[in-house]
Amino acid sequence: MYRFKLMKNKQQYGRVNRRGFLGQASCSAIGSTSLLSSLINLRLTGSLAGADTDDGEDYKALVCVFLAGGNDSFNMLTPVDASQGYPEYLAARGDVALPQTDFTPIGDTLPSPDGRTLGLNVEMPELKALFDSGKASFINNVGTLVEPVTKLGIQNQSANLPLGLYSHSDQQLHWQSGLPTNRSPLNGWGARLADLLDDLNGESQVSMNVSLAGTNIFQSGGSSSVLSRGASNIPEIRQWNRWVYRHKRTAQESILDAQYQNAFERSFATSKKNAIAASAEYRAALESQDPIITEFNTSNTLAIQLKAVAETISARGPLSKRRQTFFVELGGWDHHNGLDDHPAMLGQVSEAVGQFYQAMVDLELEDQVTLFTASDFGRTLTPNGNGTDHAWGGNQFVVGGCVDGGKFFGDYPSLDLGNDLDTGRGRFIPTTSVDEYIADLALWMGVSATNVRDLVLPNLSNFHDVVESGAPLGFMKMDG
Amino acid sequence: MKVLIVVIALFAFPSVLFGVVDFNGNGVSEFWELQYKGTVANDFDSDNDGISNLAEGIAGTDPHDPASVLALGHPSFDGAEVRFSWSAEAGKSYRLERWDPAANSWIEAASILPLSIAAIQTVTLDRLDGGIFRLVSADVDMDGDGLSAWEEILIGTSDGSAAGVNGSGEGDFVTALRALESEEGLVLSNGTRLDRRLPSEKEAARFLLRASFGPTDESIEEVMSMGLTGWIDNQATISTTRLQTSIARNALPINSSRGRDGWWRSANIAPDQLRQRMAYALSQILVVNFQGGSVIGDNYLIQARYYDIFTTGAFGSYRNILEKVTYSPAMGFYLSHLNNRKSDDPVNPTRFPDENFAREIMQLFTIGLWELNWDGSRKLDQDGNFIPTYGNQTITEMARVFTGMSHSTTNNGRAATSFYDVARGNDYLYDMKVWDEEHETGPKSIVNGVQLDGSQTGEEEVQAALDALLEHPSLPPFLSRLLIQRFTSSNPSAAYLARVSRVWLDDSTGESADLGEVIKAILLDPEILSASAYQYRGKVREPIIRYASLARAFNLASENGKYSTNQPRLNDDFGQFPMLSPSVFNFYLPDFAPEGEFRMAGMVSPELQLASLSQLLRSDSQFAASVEESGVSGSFDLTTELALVNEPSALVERVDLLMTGGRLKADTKVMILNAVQSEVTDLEKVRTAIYLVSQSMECIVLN
Amino acid sequence: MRKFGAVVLLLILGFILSRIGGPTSEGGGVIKGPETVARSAGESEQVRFLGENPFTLEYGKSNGDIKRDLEALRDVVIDCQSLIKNFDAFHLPGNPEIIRFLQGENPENLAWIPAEHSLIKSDIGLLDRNGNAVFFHRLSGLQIEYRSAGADGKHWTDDDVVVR
Repeated sequence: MYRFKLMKNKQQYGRVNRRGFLGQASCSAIGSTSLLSSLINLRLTGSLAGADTDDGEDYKALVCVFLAGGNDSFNMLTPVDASQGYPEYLAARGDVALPQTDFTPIGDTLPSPDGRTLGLNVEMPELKALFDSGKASFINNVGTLVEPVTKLGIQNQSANLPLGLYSHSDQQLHWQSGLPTNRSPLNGWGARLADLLDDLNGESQVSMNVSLAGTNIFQSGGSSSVLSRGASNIPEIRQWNRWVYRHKRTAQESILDAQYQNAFERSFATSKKNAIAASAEYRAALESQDPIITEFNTSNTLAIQLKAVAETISARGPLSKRRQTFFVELGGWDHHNGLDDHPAMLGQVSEAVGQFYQAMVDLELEDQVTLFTASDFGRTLTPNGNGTDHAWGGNQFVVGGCVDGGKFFGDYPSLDLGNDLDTGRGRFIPTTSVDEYIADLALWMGVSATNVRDLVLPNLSNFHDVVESGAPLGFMKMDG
Repeated sequence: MKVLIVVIALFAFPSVLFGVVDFNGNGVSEFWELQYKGTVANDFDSDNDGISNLAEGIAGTDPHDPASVLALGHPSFDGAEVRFSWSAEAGKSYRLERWDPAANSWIEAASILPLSIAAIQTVTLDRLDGGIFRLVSADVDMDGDGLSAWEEILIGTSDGSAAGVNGSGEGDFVTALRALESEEGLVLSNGTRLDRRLPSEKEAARFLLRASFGPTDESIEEVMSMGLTGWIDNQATISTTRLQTSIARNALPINSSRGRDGWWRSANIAPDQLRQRMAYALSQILVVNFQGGSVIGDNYLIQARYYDIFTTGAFGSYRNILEKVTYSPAMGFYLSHLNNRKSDDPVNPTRFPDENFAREIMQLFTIGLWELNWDGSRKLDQDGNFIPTYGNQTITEMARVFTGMSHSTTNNGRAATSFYDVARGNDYLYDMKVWDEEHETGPKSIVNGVQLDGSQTGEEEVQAALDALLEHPSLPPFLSRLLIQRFTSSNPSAAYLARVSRVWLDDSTGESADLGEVIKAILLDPEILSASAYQYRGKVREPIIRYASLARAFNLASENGKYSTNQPRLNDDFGQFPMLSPSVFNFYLPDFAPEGEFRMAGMVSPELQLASLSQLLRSDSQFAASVEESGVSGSFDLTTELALVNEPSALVERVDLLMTGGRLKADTKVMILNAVQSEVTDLEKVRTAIYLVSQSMECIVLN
Repeated sequence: MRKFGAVVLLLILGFILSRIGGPTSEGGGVIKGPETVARSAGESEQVRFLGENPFTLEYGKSNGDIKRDLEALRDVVIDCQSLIKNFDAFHLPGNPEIIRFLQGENPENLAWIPAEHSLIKSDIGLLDRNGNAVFFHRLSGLQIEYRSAGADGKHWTDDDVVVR
């Protein structure tokens, strides 16, 4: 039995450790290892995805586009109405404000009493098109939270905040782990979700989790492992398929096929053989598919990652997959020193996402794949010289055929400085937590509400009763 | 009433429960084989007494004397009884078994414990309706010291006591081995002198795989000439290669790559190899992660000074090491007992001492979570439940002890006058001290039932806490297991673990023993030196050690005197790099069991936690690249190997010796030979041999 | 006469030097150890100043430079983090919040930096010795990169001084 000590009050020192934990739980309210053991228990009792999720005859995939460094998303989606929204924006952003003409009005006017109109940065025409055709939506002012907080609570230092707020690595961890009180999470919500859904997949040596950007917490720590690859290469033993290696390969294969009396030798040989088989299976699966006909801009580093994702999705049949997760990343968003290249980077994202969606259409899978963005945090409204600094709540978007598109979810904050959400310099307290954002995605992927609450997003209950009330935001069409 | 007698002498059980020292794994005691040197324990029957030499070896009889044989003579009948007798060897146990046709198996009719001198043994049974009987001879090890009763009688030690006369000092086996490797050899209790027996080339290499970062031609020679005992003794006399020195010798100035590479230099060329292995093992128990980006992570001198607690203390007392670690500001920073203040209010506290260090010093550095018996098994309470070594309250109480600890210097080396003096970088080089101004006062109930009455100073209380931990009965088995896992075996037998545990407490003085004694017990255990077919024997070698072994075997030269690695690459490929453990729990957990047969059998393999798909493929590629590109920032010296290209078998044998201790199976050798001979150039042949041996299971696993 | 003057000079120098020394020095006017001072006007709680430290001794002082200033700042922040162990649980986006925290605006009421300092402006926070705001770049919960705009007064240019 694990005991939990809720961190009620910062004054009380049972310090949340620098590490994850094992054995007796320490004082973090959310024990990631205990989550995993609960997962293992559930697996043994058979009460996993197969039993209580939707029948999942369809294939579904989640694609996480991580914008590392903190996307200045208030220059991505911006109020453009002349009466209130844009003037507030201009006043707040000063030197880093973009002209009104740098935005294309998008979507409906924000509901009364708000009345502002939002605009999307002109560098993102593909995203605009997706939005207009009902395939993309925005989730506004979303950020890491342990529990709802107020400006007053922050000012008097009584608020329970995510650890390492405003710092890159901690916030990236929280976005990917869903465990904002844990400095060293052992697993991410993607891994926990994958462990629940892997039962829907068939026999394969290839993991259902593929990363194009190396090790990431989002997919790590579960029993379903991760296949980490480059945009243009797949993991393999050096020179394995090369002609010069052929004799060594024969020897290696014989070595791995041999019978071993010692259990360690046997186990290692099996594992390595499986790894090679996984690599070969993956390669064969990719090669068995027709090449992706959709055009991807090969000088766009995000696009080539997403192309690899598309290729892997295309190969889902040979890989026996009905559920997959993908992680891609674009860095360089830490625009302290100037936002000059920010619009072009937004353009890069838009182009890549547009091309990816088109690839899904070409595969006739657009209803079965959902892409979502994540980022460390938004950035300060007010500039610091020519650039902006770390902030908190920011705007994200989701793309997919099942998205309830053309809409704004969450609450787009007022941009006048000093309002109730502004903790200083336009750093907004998020009005939607990362948990609520992710919950919609997890439910769409087929995890039951109970499992979302208890296993995937243990922090969600501080915001929303997912079992009682279903999806917190409702941006996914659940019959899709 | 026919009573058919059949006599069989059997090696009764598979090696798990053995008790004989059996270097070559044929089931016959090494001491028997040495005593009858020149007589091979095989099917030949030297004395024509009808029993093969092998069987005589197992039974402990003389293969040259037909009168010395295990035989069940005709039984005598006396009324309703039948009497069996035989000539029993001292120290052997016997079982009289009868064939049961109904059960279709042999069942035990009588079992006899060993006698202390040879004598006629008689068993009386009820006369039955005939039967087929057999006599089985087996070995026992009453005192669990790895020597069977028969062997102990032979060499003159007692099977009632694991070590010496007082039960202290080196175990009986090590004592015997030491004598056997000495110039005079070992004199048996019957007066026979066994000639000096030094390790063979393969034995030496296998020993070095455990006791060093990898065999080299020189070190194999050393072990062969000094013996295992002599080599270990000699290692303790070699002056310590400190990490601080290695860093400095590698190059100036000390920046990130040079700091990390100091370790690599030591692993490659430090002559005090056993000490270096011990230091590395200790660094995986008393873990500090020196990942860059913190005041300790960016300062390589601080790291080296911490690590040198282990190099300098490797053969000393564990208490000493634990104390230095406790007072280390690097550890204080990592586990946050540096600047740990007392509660803010004695009556109604709202702020409490940090518990991080207090928890880990118990859970990871000394006693673990569960009370243990000497043999490593968990103790059970009367309801059959495991017994925790401490509860949350104890952690809190211990946390109260570790308060008031802060730098003893300020301003880069000047004496501090207050707990609150702010440290600069170099102040992390000097031990902390316990400042009473922030030390929590009052009585404390700490671990192991110890009560501190509150009258002591903070320093005295910290010392008392360390004493309490060192005296905890779970400490020896807990730490023994961890150390055994670093050197020889992932799943030590209960007997092996108990033998090592016993060494922690020196019975004669009652004080905690040296790690020097512990490592001797670990490396020279009869179970480890004996061969056996037990399938869960041994362990998977750590990738970084395998990598270092590759460099050592082929004399990786330095580049301008500098030994350097591509540390981030190695860390990614192998999943480990010294002092860069991802958490205080080390690179792998002591109880990690991969799915499948290990879990089902209740066996563990920590190193298999570093066998993800990515790590398996990348580590292979890393070895390939290193061999292809002639090593890392340097080059291998392949002179000896190149000279053997015209005798490819010899080439493979040599590489085999250096990298696995000659363990490659015949089949594996053939596979590798084929690949070697298919290559065209000499260099390619040699590289292929090295690469493929490095990827063989026999190299990856230590057995 | 000159010799006498030189001696006087030396004595004066010696006197001055003795007052600059750290906690081991004596002499009036130098706060040695922790002491309780009132917060700035309007605050009712007592703040406990922890004594002379690298920041109070070196920051902005004539014999230093920006790099040493930032190193002194860094060491004081590290000390703060080791005393207030949940430093990363607070709302500390950067300058000036972190400075205020170090001045005593924390639940422990501990202070490393005095309430008044020539290089601290209440709205901006800490300035470098050229009068430009120091930039606190939070990399992780505990690791902060300190940046000065350098001689050209502009951040993110080549002459920036960066300390981690």
